[in-house]
Amino acid sequence: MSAPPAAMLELEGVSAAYGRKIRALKGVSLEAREGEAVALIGNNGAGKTTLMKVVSGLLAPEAGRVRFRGRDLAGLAPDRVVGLGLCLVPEGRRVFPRLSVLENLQMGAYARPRGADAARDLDRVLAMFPILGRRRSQPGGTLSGGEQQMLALGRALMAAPQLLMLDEPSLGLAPVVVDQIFETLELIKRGGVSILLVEQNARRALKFASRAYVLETGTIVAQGEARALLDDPAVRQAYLGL
Amino acid sequence: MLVQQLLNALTLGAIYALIALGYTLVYGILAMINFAHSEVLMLGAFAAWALAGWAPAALGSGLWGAAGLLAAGMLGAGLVNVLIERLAYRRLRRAPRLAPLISAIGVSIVLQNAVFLWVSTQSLAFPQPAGTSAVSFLGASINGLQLAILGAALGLMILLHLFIARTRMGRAMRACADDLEAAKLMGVNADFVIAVTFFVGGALGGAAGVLYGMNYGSIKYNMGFLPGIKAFTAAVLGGIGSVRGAVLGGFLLGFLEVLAAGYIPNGAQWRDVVAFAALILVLLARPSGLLGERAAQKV
Repeated sequence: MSAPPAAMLELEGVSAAYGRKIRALKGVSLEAREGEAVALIGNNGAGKTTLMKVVSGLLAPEAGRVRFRGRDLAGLAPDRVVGLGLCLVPEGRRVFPRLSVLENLQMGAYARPRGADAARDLDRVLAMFPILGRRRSQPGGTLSGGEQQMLALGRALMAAPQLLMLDEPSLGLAPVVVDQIFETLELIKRGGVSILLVEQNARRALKFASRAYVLETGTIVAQGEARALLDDPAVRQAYLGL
Repeated sequence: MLVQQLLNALTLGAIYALIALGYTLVYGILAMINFAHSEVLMLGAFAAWALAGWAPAALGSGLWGAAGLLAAGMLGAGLVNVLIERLAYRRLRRAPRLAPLISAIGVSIVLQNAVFLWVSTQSLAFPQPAGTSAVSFLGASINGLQLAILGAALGLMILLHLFIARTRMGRAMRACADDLEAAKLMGVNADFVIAVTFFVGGALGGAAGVLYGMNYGSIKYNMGFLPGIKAFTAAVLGGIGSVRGAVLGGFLLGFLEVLAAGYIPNGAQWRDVVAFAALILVLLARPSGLLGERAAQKV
């Protein structure tokens, strides 16, 4: 057996608060290893989005450490974090509504050194989502919800991330579109990109990921192999509605 | 006579449009009105005036000298605007909306009084390029200086359009205007893009100040107030946040004023009334302006 894959993202005792009052994360520790897909499940308000904001640099933690490939991310602004190879697809997709589809994708490559392999990645993204090619000169805001999610995903891939974080990618989408999104995520995972997936659709997330964490009111209450959590009676009752 | 009236309207409209662009660019990204913009354009004119006093021989009195003054005014006003953002607005970006507004009004009063106290309380002569007084055009004799001013303003608008539509920085500016947080997540240094936006907006205002000074041949510490407030009106008329709206609003306001002055008896005294009455009518019919997007489009 080869050596276990190195940790890519490590959180150690991270606490964070929204505004001045609401403590959204209380001492959260988790990790995602190289090439691994990790799911983070939990109810609304459990702190999932806050955790994503802390990792991407949008929110400074009150305590604890966030390390990416051994590097401490403390004090790094979001535009620096993405340059390290860590890209977030935010909740609600957040495509640029007045920029064309093509310009949205170009913005994804903003943090990369100019030239680089952006042209090749653009071809790859357009091959992955042919619909985006057909709509390339249309404003992003005119796309349907599913198309916008594909655009948000394609835009993040243009950053050539080593770790892709997704916040509720299936939210508000028709089941057939959700299938399509997860098929694509499978492809991305097989391409060697690590994935940290936040989902309310726990069944979907646990089937996709190899390991998972359960977040409840700001604390990790369960963790382990995704398949094992899928069979865990407490998890089944709380998150799978069984 | 008609050709000259037309040129009057276009010249005035072009100056309003340049100033309005400064309001709209800043509003597009930060959703705040930079009420110090009037003073930024005034300081642009004073920067050019200072250069003209310091190196009159090097500049000469022709069109090239005028271009030098324009460049100086743009650079000066752009830098002032960047400084204002850094010192008076940046820390208030997350504050309640009234705070940056009041801060802007404060900056405006401070700058105006600084020029009043330390430079001059009186009107100062502003150099007009020589040899442009009368040009024959379409069989009519018209004011060549105005033609030059109009040409310069239109050229700057075309440059701005190319910058916003075609360059990487222009794209980043539009991305920030659409969704600042998402732009940060893509690696955009938002503070830098905002500073560039203030520089570009300020430089256009400074250009307008210089052209305004050339048009009337004089500048004064309070020269920014009226064109500033009118250009703000023009930006709202066209749809604040919209670049095309600012240009449309500027020219529309120029035409309304000149028509009122030329064709209403005693019109010169009525021009501001006509202009602002038109603003009220347009806003009643289209609250977000002629080319403005309906509010609450953001996801």
